[in-house]
Amino acid sequence: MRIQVKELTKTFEAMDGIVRALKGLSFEVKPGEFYTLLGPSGCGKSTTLRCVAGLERPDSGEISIGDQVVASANAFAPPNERPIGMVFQSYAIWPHMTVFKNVAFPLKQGKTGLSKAEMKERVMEALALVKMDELVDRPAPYLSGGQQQRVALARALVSKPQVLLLDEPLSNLDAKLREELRVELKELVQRVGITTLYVTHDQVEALAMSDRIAVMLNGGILQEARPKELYLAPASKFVAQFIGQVNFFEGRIAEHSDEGWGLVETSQGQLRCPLPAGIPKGATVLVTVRPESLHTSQNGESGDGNVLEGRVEKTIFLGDFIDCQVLVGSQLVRAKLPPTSDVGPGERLFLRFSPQACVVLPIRTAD
Amino acid sequence: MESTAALALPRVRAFWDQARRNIVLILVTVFLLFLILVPLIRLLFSSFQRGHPAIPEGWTLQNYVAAYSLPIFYEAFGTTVLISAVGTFITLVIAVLFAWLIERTDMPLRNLAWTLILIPMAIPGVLFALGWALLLAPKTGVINVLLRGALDLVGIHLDQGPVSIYSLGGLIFLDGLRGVSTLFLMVVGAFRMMDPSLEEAARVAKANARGTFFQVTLPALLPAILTAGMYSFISSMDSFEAPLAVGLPAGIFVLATLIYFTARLQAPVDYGLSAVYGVTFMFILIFLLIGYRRAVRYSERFSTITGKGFRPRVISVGKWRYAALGLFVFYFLLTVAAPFAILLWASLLPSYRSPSFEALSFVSPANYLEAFSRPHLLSVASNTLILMAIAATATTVLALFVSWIVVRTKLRGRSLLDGMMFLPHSIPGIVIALAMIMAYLSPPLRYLGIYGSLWIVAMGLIVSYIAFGTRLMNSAIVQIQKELEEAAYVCGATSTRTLLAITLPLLFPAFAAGWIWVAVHSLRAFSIPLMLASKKNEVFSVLLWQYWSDGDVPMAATLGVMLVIVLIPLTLVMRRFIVKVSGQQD
Ligand SMILES: Nc1ncnc2c1ncn2[C@@H]1O[C@H](COP(=O)(O)OP(=O)(O)OP(=O)(O)O)[C@@H](O)[C@H]1O
Ligand SMILES: [Mg+2]
Repeated sequence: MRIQVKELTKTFEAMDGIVRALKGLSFEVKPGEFYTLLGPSGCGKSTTLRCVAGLERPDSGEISIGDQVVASANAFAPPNERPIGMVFQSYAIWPHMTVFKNVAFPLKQGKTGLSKAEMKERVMEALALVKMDELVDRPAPYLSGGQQQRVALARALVSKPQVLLLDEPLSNLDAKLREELRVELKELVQRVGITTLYVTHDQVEALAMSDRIAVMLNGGILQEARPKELYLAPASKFVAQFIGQVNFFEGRIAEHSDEGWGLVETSQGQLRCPLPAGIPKGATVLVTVRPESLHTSQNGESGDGNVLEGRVEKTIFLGDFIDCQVLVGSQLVRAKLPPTSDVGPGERLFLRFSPQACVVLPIRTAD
Repeated sequence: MESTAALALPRVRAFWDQARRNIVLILVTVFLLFLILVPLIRLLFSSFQRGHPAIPEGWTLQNYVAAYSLPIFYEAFGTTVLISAVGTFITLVIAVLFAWLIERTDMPLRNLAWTLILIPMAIPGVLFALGWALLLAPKTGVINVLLRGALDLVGIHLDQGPVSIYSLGGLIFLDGLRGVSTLFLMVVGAFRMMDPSLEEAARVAKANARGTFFQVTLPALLPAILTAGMYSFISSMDSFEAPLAVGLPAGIFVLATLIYFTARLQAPVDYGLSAVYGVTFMFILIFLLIGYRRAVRYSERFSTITGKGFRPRVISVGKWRYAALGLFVFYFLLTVAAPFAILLWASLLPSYRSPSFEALSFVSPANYLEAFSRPHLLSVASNTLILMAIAATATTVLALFVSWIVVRTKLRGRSLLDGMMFLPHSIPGIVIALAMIMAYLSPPLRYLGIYGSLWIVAMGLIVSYIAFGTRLMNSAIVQIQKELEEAAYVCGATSTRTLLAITLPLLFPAFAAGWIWVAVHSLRAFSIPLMLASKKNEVFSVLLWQYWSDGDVPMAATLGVMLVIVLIPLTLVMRRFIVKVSGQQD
C-alpha cells in the first residue's frame, strides 16, 4: 500500500522554546517499496515516522495510507485505526508477558473474529517467520537483544498490516549481529512484500537495505534517490559528506566544453571533471572525489586523468585498506589504498583519479 | 493575524480532544483539588472571621491582632524553633555517625544493624513519648528510681528526680532520637554511592584515615547531609506527639500543640485564634519547604555522588569496632528496647508500678484478655482497619490518575497540578485537620454530614499522604518506557485498553509499595485522627491516648504493645517494597 506525505509540519514546545521538528516535508512510498529516512540525530526522522503511525498529530499537512487520509487539517485517525505495524528503537516488548502473549496482543484488539486456534496458528506463523517459534513460552525479560528485536518484528507483522514502520530497529545491537539481521530483515520484508518505511542514522544500513533513500536535515528532505545514485551523485556537500567519506576541492570553472566536460581551476591544480548543465564559466564550484577513487602513481603524467602531488602525512592500517592522508598544497587529502601498498609518512607521491570519479557541486550560499 | 489563527485552531481542537478522551482523569483531578484547596481556603476565611465558623459574625482583623499580641504565641514559636534546631543537630550527628559506621567501616554485625536501625519507624511517636514518660517521670520513672537508689549510697537523698522528661530538655531528647531512622536512610545512600576515588586520592596524598574523613569524606557529603538536616528540621517543627504527651503537662507549648489546645482543649474553644495560628504555621512551613527544595536542587547540581555500582572500600577502625557496636546497642536500647520493655511491663500489670521483684508476682496477661473482651475496643479496631484500607486504596488510586496526567498527557496546567499535589506536604497534619474541621463544620459542606465520621479522618489522611503518593507514582510512571504504551496503540489497542493491559500491570509494584506505605502511616497516624476525633470515629492510637489521659496506664500500654507488634513487620516489608520500586539497591 502507498504512503503519501504532503507538506508535513510539526513543532514541539520544549523547555527552552519552540522546536520546529518538521518544516513542510513531502514524500511518497510506492506499494511494496523499502523506503528509508536517513539523517543525523535530531533531524526529525522519528517525528515523521510517529506522525505516520499516529503517535504524533501533525500541525499541518496531510498523510494518507492507501486511499485512507489518516491525518489532515480536519481528520485524524488514532494509531489503532491505521493499517500499520511498528517496531520501536527500544523494541518495547512488554516485560509482564510471554513471547506468545506479546505477539498475540494485536490479534486481540477490536473485532478480529479469530478463534483461539486460529489465533495460535497466526502467532506461530509470525514467530516462525522470525525464527523464534522455539521460544514462544519464554517470559519477555529472559530474551536477548536480538531475540527481542525478532519478537518485536513478529508482533508488528502478525496482524498482516499494510505498512511496516521501523525506527532504528538495529541500533541497539552489537555490530556483528546488526550486520546479520540487516540481511535477514531485508529478505523477510521482501518475502512478505510489505511497504516499509525505515528510519536510521546509519548510512551503511540505509545503502544496504533500501530501494530508495531520503536524506533529511533540519526537518526537511535534502535529496531522495536510489542508494547507488545517492552515493555516486550526491546533490549537495552535506549529502556527499553524510554518505561516506569525501575529499573536496574548491575552484572556478576555467573551461567549459559542449559535451559536458570542463576544467576546474583549484589551488591543487587544474582538474578535469564532468560539468552539470547550467553552470557558467567562472563560477565557483566544489569538486568532490571519494577516497577510494584515488590511486597512487609513480610519475606525474596525467594522461587523460587528474593527478595531485603531495607528501604522506599519516597512514593508518585498517585491515581491508590503508587510510592514507596526503598533504597536497595546504589541503589534507584522504585516499583509501590497497592493504598491500607500501607507503610511509614523509614520502612524496602522486595521486591519480579519473574525471568520471569527480562530482561537481555548485557552491550555494547555503553550503 | 492569519498565522496565529491557523496555529491556535488545532491547539483548541487538540485540547478538546484530550479533554473528551480523559474525562475520568479530569473528574479525579477536580475531586482532589476540592479535597485539598477547599479546607485551606476555608481556614484562611475563618482567620478573618468573628465567631464560630458555622455562624460567622462578620469580617475582622481582630483574630490576628489578638494572636500576635499574645506572648504565648511567641513563646510557642521560640520553643518550636529551639527544640527543632537542637533536636535536628542531635539527630544529624547520630544518623551520620551510624551511616558511616554501618556503611563504610568494619563494625561487627553491620547487616543486622542495617535492619535494626529501621525499627524505631515502627513505633508511633506517641508511644515513644509514653514509654519515656514511664522511664523518666520525676517520681515513678524507672531510671529515676534507680538513680535515686545509687545516690542514696553516696548519701544524697532525693524525693524525686534527678531527671524529668516533662521539661524542655526532655522534649529535645525525644526529638533528637526520634528521626534518626529517616535521616539515616537519607544520608546512607550518599555514603554508599560516593565516588571512592575521592578518598583514594586523599590517601595517596598521604592523609591518614581521620584526616581523610574530616577533610574529604565529610565535605564531599556535606550537601547531602545539610539537605537531610533541613528535612529533619521541618519534620521536627511539625512534631506533635511528644509535645502533647510530655510538653503540655509541663505547660510547654509548641505551635502544633498550641493549635490543638486552642481548637480542642480550652473552654471555650477559639476557632478564629486557632485559624490564625494555623495559617501562620502553614506559611512558615511552606517558606521553609521552598528553601528546602532550592537546597536540594542546588546540592544535586554539585553532587559528588556517582551512580556507579561498586561499593567504596571498607575502612578498618581496629579495636574501636567494639566501641562502635556498643554505641549502636546503646542507641537501640534508648530508641526501641527500653521504651518497648517498659510498655510491655506496664501492660502486664493490673495497675502501674515500677519494675521490681515483688511486683513480678502481679504479672499476668489479664489486660490483653480484657482488651479483646471490650466491645468498644473491637469497634475501634475495625475503625482503624477500615480507615487504613480506605486511606491506602484511595490515596494510591487517586495518585495514579493524577500522576498519569502529569507525566503522560499534554494537558495545560499539568505542572501546576503537580505543584498542588505537593503543597500538602508542607502543611502540618494539625493544620490540615484544623482546616477540615472549619470546612466541614460550616455550611454548605456541613450538610454532607461527614463531620465527626470516619470519612473526614480518611479525607484528612488522603490530603496529607497524596504528596508522597504522587511522588512515588510519578517516578514509577516515568520509569515505564513510553514506547511500551505506544506499542500497544500501534497494535490496535484503545487508550483504556492500554491502561488496563499494559500500564496497570507494569505499575503493580509501585501500587503495592504506595499502598503499604500509606497503610503503615495511617495505622500510626495520630494528630489528624485525634484532632478530628468524635465518639464515632475513634481509632487505635486515639483510644490509646484517651486511656493514658484518663490515667489507665496499663490499658494504654496494652494497646501500644499490640500496635507495635503489628507495625514492626509491616514497616520492614514496606521498606523492601519502596527500595524495590525506587530502584535503590539494598
Ligand atoms: N516530545 C518532544 N518534545 C519536544 N521536542 C521534541 C519532542 N520530540 C522530538 N523533539 C525535537 O524534535 C526534533 C526532531 O526529533 P526526532 O526525534 O524526530 O529526531 P531523530 O531524527 O529521530 O533523531 P535521532 O536519530 O536522535 O532519533 C529534535 O530537535 C527533538 O529535540
Ligand atoms: Mg529517532
